[in-house]
Amino acid sequence: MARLELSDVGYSYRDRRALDGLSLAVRSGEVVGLLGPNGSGKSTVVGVVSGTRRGYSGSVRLNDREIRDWPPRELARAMAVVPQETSFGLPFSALEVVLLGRHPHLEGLGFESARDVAIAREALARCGAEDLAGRDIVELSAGERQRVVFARALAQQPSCLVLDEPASFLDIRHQVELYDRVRELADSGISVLTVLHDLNLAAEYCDRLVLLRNGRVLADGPTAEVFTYARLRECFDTEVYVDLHDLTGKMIAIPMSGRVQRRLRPRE
Amino acid sequence: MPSTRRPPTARGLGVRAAALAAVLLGAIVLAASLGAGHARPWGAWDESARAVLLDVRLPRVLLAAVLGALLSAAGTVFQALLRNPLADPYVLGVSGGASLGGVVALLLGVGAVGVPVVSFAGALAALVAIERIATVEGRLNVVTLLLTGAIFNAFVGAAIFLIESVVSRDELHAVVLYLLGRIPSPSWGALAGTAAAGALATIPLLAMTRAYNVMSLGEEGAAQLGVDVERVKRRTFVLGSVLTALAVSASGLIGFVGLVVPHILRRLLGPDHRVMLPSAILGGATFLVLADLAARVIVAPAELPVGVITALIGGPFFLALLRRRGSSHGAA
Amino acid sequence: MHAAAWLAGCAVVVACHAPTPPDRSAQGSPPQRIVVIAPAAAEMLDALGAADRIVGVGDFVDRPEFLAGLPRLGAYDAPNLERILELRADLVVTSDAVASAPAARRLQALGVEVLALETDTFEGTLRALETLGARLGLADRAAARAASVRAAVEDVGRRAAGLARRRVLCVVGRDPLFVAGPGSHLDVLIAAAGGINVARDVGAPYARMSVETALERMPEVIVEASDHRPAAFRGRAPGLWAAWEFLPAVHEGRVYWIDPDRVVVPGMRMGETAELLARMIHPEAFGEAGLEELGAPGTAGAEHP
Repeated sequence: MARLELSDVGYSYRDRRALDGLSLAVRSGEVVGLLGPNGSGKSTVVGVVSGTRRGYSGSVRLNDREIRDWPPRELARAMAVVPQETSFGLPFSALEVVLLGRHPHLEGLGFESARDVAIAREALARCGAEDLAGRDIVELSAGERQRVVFARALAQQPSCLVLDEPASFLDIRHQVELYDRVRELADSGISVLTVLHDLNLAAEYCDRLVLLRNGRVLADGPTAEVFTYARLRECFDTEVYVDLHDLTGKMIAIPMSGRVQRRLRPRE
Repeated sequence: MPSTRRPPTARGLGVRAAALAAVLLGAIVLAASLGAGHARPWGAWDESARAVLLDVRLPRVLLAAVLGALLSAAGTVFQALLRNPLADPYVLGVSGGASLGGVVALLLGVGAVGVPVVSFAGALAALVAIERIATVEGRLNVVTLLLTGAIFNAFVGAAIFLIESVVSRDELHAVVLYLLGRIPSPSWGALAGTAAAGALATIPLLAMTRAYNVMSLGEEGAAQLGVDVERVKRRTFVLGSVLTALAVSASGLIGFVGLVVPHILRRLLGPDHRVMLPSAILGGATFLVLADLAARVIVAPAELPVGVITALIGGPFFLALLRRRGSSHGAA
Repeated sequence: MHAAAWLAGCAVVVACHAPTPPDRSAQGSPPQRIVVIAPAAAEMLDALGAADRIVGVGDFVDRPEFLAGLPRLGAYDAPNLERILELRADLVVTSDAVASAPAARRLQALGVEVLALETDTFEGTLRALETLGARLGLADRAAARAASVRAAVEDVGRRAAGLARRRVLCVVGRDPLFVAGPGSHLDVLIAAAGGINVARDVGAPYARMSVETALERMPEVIVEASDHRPAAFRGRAPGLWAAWEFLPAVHEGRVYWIDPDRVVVPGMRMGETAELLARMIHPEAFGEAGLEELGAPGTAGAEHP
């Protein structure tokens, strides 16, 4: 349904080059994880892909159309972005916040129709947040808020979902719940690009991984291939123990503390 | 406190707007019935009563309604633009330009015709200058806008002080009175013109109300939902400033209306701008009509400056509001 | 977009504040129902024998006393339009101060004639009297009264002609210090009374002067007309100037505290004011009658300032 493709993308801030020669692709039904150390350019990729950072070189195409050429409302109907955190200035109710996701679909200055409200409620239900509908958004906990924001993205009915470290501030249960939903969405055909820093979540949920370092792609491929000790060490500049776990059937990563490293290599 | 508000609908808005319009109408009738003169809208009218009601009192009551609407609308949209509930129409510096223009016009003796015109021109000159300064790399930076406005207001304040210190006593008195905020009794032509200009500037703002809702997610979030953020910001700043300029050039600086009315309505009706902006227009009109009534009547035949009334009501109210806000919201 | 908005906005505002239709008030016949806002004008109307035509007064009109019972109509910048219309006034007499202009224009648009008189200067006051008299059909009487005021002042001037000029400071306001300067009627009267106004270069009829400048000029007579309080001290005493012993006015005991209402508003009694000033400046030639009771008639003197 949606294909997101970056080719040889470059982006510079005033004094430094954040992205250089970056290429990656996300196909329908795929969850692609974007990993990298701080400052590697992950958030910049989100900005470029979502259309907020326009001054990029190279090509960013959604469904074979350059992002720059998409009219903003049309783009918002095709692509939804879930940021790391959102601050809410106004005491909207959770349902009203989710309804904001219908904005790209509404014409003129009208109010939302009954159908829009139904879509919003269903989105909340899919996120397990239907009981939050009437609550003030400013009163919700971080986990509840993030569920509402996620529901808002769903209400946009996108064919492509971009997530920028969406679970950073969530506890472990909510992290799992959120990514379970992401998985469900991908299984229904939505293409998902997610930036994340939790290696184990990445291993569990992503079909493919892209490793970024200093604005360049270090590795790009199926999770099982990319998720190796050597690759991770090259990317993050630290020792990570990697193994395939019996219980989950997926890779796991255990960062090695200094103590463990010294035990393994007593002579160094 | 859990909110059990349902999302607004067109019919809900219609009902609320009709109710507010009815209240406004009642306020206008009340205000037209009372005044320093003894004329009443009912009963027999002799020639002087006719003149009092139709030439002096009614135009003034209606001008109060128009100015109340302009200031409340400007306050509402500036609060949306700056994402700050403490914004009022004067915070962005345009009122400084209007005041300075008006003072200069007053002292140059351009006559009563010239003062509102020069004041308005001063406001728009300020608008252009401030907008230029706050536009960085093609984007209107909201924080810079706020700072520029504050600095500009301070500069104008100093300039006016300087002027006050060098003019004669007579002119000093005129300047102080001009800045105080008084609603004049306008000619019908002036009233119609102000109302028409205000309406023209308000219509595009009403069209952007849903965009304001979306902008509460932040500029990036709003852009990702398809809002043309730069256009919304620029239009809001320009049109809101035009509304403020119209108000200040007509009456000097009347405070608190643009700050307090949006707040009250937000508490009562919710933060959805599609409901808030029309309600603020009607509610602000009512507020100023009643405040001006008090100003005209309390110490008749003398008049209190209406800004005194709005401050006396608005000040304590606003403090009470801040206290409640502080206790009911933890971290936003 | 901005230029267009600016031009459009200015055009709209100009259009709606366009010049009003011509004054609809009836010209020609002398007005019979007069509202007096300028204090000086009330006295003038009384002098012209037209005080019975007054139907309402402004807030600051205290004299003549018999006007006290009339409806009060507000200050000169904001006379109460409703009441003026209700009184069916056909003439409003106000000052030509900048602040009066908007209200005056509004009144004219409503069909009420407005006479804006300049009553800040000596000549202006006398001209105002004549203008008022002409409008009321009492031109001859006005000319006569103006002539008598002028004659009284000139008489004082003649008697003071050969005397040595003394330096005079006339204070009309404090904090900051406001003095009577060139162009004010007090300046004219001081000159007639044989004095030199030390504030003759302040550039305006009433202007600020720094205290240092006032001290530098070493005034020999100080006329303090700055204290408006009803129970304030009136009479001869150094008062606030006592700290500066070196001033001739202080060590020779020629600091006079006078009720401002008696001297600051120019009017029909400028001749008497000239005489009073002459006594302050040249007591050896004009006598000292009346110098211990400088309050308004009927007020008791208070404690020393």
